[in-house]
Parts: sequence; structure tokens; C-alpha cells
Amino acid sequence: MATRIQENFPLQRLDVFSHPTQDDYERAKDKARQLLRSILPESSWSELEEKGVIQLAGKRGTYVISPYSQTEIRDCASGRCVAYACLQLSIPAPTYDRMVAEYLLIRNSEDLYWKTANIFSRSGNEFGIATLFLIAFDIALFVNLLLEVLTVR
Amino acid sequence: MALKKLRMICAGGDKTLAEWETETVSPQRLAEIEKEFNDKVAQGWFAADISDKRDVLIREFDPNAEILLIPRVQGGL
Repeated sequence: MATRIQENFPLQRLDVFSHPTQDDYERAKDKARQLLRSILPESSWSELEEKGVIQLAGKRGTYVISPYSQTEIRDCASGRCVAYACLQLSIPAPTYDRMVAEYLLIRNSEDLYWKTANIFSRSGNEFGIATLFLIAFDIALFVNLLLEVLTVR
Repeated sequence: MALKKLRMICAGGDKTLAEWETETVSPQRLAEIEKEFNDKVAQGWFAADISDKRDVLIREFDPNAEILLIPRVQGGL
């Protein structure tokens, strides 16, 4: 009878409902890390171990791929960050696998990467104006406070 | 003899879909592996030849390559 139940409900089906444990997560992360290592040139792997990021030069900029944050796109000449890119896999997978996908896409099909990823351009002017307004507002508040204090005295 | 693998990225890291000895694999087995490859590519997966850090995207099955299948990608936040 027990055998019959197992036949009707195979083990693969049980896997679907089981939650991954911390060990499963760590194992998956290690496998993904090893996969990334097998793909990257030695210099890039060393860079990842030392700095925690991979830098990859493309036609449109230099990409800084990190396991834990969005990919920075830097201007080739100045090295200044001009945009952030966010790309994700359509299935849940370890972050190092996302790095594998980003690395291969940028290396082989940079235009497709730009079409697929969400790119958030970092325009210095927009940020500057907003900051300027905030500073002006803070100064106005401070002057107002000073005047209040002086008039009370 | 060279052992080659068709691997795919999945939640548990990556898993091997097929492996074959390039010199001894039967044409039938190779056709099965190629079909698996083509099915995934048709579903939008990317395929890369990662043998010896070659790291190039491919559209057609190459029995002499170490192949990695990468799921579809999308923009994130």
C-alpha cells in the first residue's frame, strides 16, 4: 500500500512544495559562485574577491557588476557613474547567476542588455537643482529662526 | 575523449541537463540533446558556449561546446 502511495505522488512533486533550507540556499550560492568563476577571466575573478565587484568595459561605458546592488554604468573617459542598470532573471536564482547572465549579455550583446535592463540615468543637473532648492529652503528656515530669536530678545 | 555538458541555471544554482562524450555519443542521443537545447532557446532562454572561458552566446547547438542555458531576463527595480 505504501508503495502505491509513493507511485501516485512521486518525489519530484514533493520537491515543489518543500521550502529551501538555509543549507540549500548556501549550496545554490556556492554552485553559482563556482559557475561564475568558471566563466570569468582570472583577473576579473580576483577583482571580485578583492573588491566585491566585476568591472567590464563595453562600447557604451564601463559596467560595475555587484552581487548585492544595481549595476553601475560609468563613463569610459571620466569614470563617473552615469546610470544604474537593473536586470533580473525570470526565475528565482542565486545572485551570482544573475551576474553570470549580466556578464555574458554585456560581453556579447550590449545593445540587447540596454533594451532589456531598466536603466536609470543619473543626471547630475536634476540632482543639483533639487539639492539647491533644499539648501535654499534650509537657509530660509534658518534665517527665519534667527530673526525670531532676535526679535524675542 | 572530451566530456561535454548542457547545463541550465535554476533556483538551486545550475543543473546538468545532459552530458556526453563527444567521440562516443550516439547520433540519436545527440539529437535528443539538441532538441532539448532548441526547446529552451525557443522559450527565450539564452545559450552560451562557456568552454575554456570562450563565453559567447550561441543560437545553434554545438556538440563540441560546453553549453550553459540562461533563463529569460527582464528589467528589475
